[in-house]
Amino acid sequence: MATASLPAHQQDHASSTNYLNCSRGFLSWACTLDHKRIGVMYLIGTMTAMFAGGALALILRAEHLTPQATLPGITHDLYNQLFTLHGAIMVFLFIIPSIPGALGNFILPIMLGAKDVAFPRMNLCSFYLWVGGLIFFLTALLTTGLDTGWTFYTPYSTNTSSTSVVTATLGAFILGFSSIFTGLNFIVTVHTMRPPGMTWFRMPLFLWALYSTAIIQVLATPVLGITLLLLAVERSFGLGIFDPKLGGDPVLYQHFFWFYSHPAVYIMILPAMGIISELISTFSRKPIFGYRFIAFSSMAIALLGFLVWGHHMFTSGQSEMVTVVFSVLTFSVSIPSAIKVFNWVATMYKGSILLATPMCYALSFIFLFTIGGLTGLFLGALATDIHLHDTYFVVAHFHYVMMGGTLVAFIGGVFYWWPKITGRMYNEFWGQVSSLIVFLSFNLTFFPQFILGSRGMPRRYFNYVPEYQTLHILSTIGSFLLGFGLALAAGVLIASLFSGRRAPANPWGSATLEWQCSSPPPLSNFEHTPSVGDPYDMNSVVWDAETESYVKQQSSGGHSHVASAH
Amino acid sequence: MATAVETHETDGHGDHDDWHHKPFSAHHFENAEQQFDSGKLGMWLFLVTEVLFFSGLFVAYAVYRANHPEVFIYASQYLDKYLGGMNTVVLIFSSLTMAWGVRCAQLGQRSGLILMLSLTLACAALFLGVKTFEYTEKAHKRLLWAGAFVNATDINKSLGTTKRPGNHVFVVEKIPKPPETFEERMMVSLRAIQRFWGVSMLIPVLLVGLGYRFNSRPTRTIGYAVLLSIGAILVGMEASIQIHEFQHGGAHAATGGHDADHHEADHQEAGHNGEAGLPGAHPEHSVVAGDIVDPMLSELTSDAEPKDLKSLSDRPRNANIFFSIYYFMTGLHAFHIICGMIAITWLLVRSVEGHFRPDYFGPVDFVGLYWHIVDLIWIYLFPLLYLIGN
Repeated sequence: MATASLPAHQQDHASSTNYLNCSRGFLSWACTLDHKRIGVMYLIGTMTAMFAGGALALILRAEHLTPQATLPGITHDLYNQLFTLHGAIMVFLFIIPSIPGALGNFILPIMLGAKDVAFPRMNLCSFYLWVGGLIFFLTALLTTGLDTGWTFYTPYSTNTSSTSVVTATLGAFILGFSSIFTGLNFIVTVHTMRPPGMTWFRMPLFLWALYSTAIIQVLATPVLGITLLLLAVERSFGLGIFDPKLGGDPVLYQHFFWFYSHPAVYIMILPAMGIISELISTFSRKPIFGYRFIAFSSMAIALLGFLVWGHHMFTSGQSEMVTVVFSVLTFSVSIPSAIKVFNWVATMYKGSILLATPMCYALSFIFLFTIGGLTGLFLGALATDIHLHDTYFVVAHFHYVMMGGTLVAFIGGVFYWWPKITGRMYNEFWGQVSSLIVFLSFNLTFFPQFILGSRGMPRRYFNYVPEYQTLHILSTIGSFLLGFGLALAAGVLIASLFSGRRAPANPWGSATLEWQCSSPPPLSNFEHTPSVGDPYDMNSVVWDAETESYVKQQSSGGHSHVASAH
Repeated sequence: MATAVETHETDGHGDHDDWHHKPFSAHHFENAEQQFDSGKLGMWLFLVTEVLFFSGLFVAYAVYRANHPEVFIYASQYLDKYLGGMNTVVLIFSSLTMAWGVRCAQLGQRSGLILMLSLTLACAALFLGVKTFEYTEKAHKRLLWAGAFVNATDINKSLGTTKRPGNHVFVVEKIPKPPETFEERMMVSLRAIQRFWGVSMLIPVLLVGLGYRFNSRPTRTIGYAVLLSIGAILVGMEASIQIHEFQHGGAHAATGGHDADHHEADHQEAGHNGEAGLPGAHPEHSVVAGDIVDPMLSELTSDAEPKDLKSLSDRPRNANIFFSIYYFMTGLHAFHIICGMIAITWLLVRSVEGHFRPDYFGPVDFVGLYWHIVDLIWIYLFPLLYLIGN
């Protein structure tokens, strides 16, 4: 493997064509089988969905400036539709597909040193299924809307609601298959296409996270599929499965739904944790602390996530025995989550920390995720959950995890891999400013909601008692600042496309494989099979002032540097 | 998914040493072994999702059987276990031919593979033919899913029966009998379906003709495969009719009309009380769909003397939740059979073209796996739905 240890910049000079400019025209993107282009299309699509869902959220928050109706034209019914679509768009169109679909698709094969994912056509199909789901949701939005809440609870969704429940349900069904195809592809790719030398425990932790996520996607999503199909048939033909009038049981729907949708919470957070593992290690210039613990905790979360769905139904009429069991299992999930947090903090300990934009987002993640996770314990405890169930406390909790966790990590990951994806460096200062605004305004938005919830403000209510107004106003101010922060982040990234300097192959000094190919990567990812070493051996790359990039150390060719990793 | 294995058409019938230049080699794999392993793992994972897809239904089955055991024992007697048994045998046989086909592909026996795939396809279509008979029979007996009785008047219209006044079950006796008995009406529907399929045979015949005209072998193969499928559907329907008549003889003719009156009057009642499809508006009327259907469940069988069925007064509530589950599970399974038939037709085209060789038979293997899981699901469905009442 003499060619294996070529310095990255030599490859850079050798290739002027990359995946972005190797072919042109609409069809070269629409019919592409290249995982990188599919990833970019996913990135654009999911980001668009995020800003659409975010705009809905801002309308909701503005509505809550006063205890009664605030905005002209926003009626009670429209309010119901707005929060439903905000939830459905954010969950099904943005958070679930964002990290696996966009960053995972782009990064996973390159991290593995592979040319593509195992089934490129299925990968493209997955993207088009996402588009199909989007069309269904848009149809629902533009016809009669949707007002069931994103959970489609029966019997409201089957018997009462007069909105496009079937359309939206089929949209979510199709998006489910998009998710299954992505997960299936990732599992097969990780199993069969690892290069020689990359054992399971030499995989970067982002791959472990995506692999765990993919397991949940493959195992949980079909159950959502059949549930939504049953719901659509129930509503259309009166199957009777969920209708007590016909002998069915509406709570069975809740069981089915949460059997998917609780693991789906880990579909959302696990890849984010994988990103954080990469960011913390790279920007602390230290090998990740407790590699195996982080890897195994991803798997543990994936498996435990299947056993806790009942905690969504503590107030829906389960037996006491069942609620106690689900409560205990819910607490057990906090163990692997905490292991990860401790390991990230331990990684930073005595590291030489660089507060680049991705690292700023990673630190925000650790802080916000910790709050989100710990407040989850309040909700997992039976006694407090009775008080807090369906209040703003729940809203704040899952926004701390999904938005403070997943979204923040996603943005951090986008900043981190942006030079690789586009070949351009963004403006570091404004990136850091955006992360600070996002962090502060996020807390301003959602921390008051914890207080609101614990004082009894129910979620999904149009009106509220005047005592809550101060906190609501704080939250609304925060939400607009948050929207500004996210728009600033997007602006920084987009501006870099026009004015950013060219990105070197490895601007951050990370040792994982994707930084060994040029930025942006060539169509087949690697001209030469990359050498596989310890993904967190920061000593294997050194700063090269000539190319302004980190390069692999010349002296340690082949695999010899692996031995010196520890 | 078998189709996910990228077929990278190169000009390479020449250099067989280089894997990358063989036909059907996906360029992003290192070698044939990696390509095959990936496809196989992908297929197994897909089967896992299939199992979980059906698992929701099996859970629903278990929940409702635990909640209403009497419904399941009572209603399952209306399924014909002989027809179900025949379908089980047909599917198990098709699994044999499929496995045999995989072996043929591995050994490079082209004609054997074509024969085995054709047999599998014929068995699948035979299964659907029997299923067509079962569904038709049940539709005529009004053994439908629960919600079908919410708009019972619509069903009467759709079945071409006339609406008559009178909304009480005891008024029925005075109403004139319908022109045809239940059996005859069912046969009319079945013959109509058979005629439909018979006429549809023109399409594959046309395809075969086009295939010869334009010298396109794949078109011909598809034509023959569709022709074979339709033929097998017709055979399946005819066989079911024969089995049905053998079981029941002609003894039902005297009672058929009488029963029909009963159920129509009941639907009248449902339509009336239900008030535009919203039963339950008057709970005191007890228009729960299960109650509406039950008289038919007990009386509108084509049996001359009800075997050991429970009497009318013993009928359980919500009996048609069983049929909701029955239709959904078997319907979804039938959908998978149809998908399998499309996949097998695709394999047939490719095997006629001679694509499969001992070093490239992945798609046959993968579709075979899929076919076995479809078979396996039926093996669970059959006893759970057909055999529990005995």
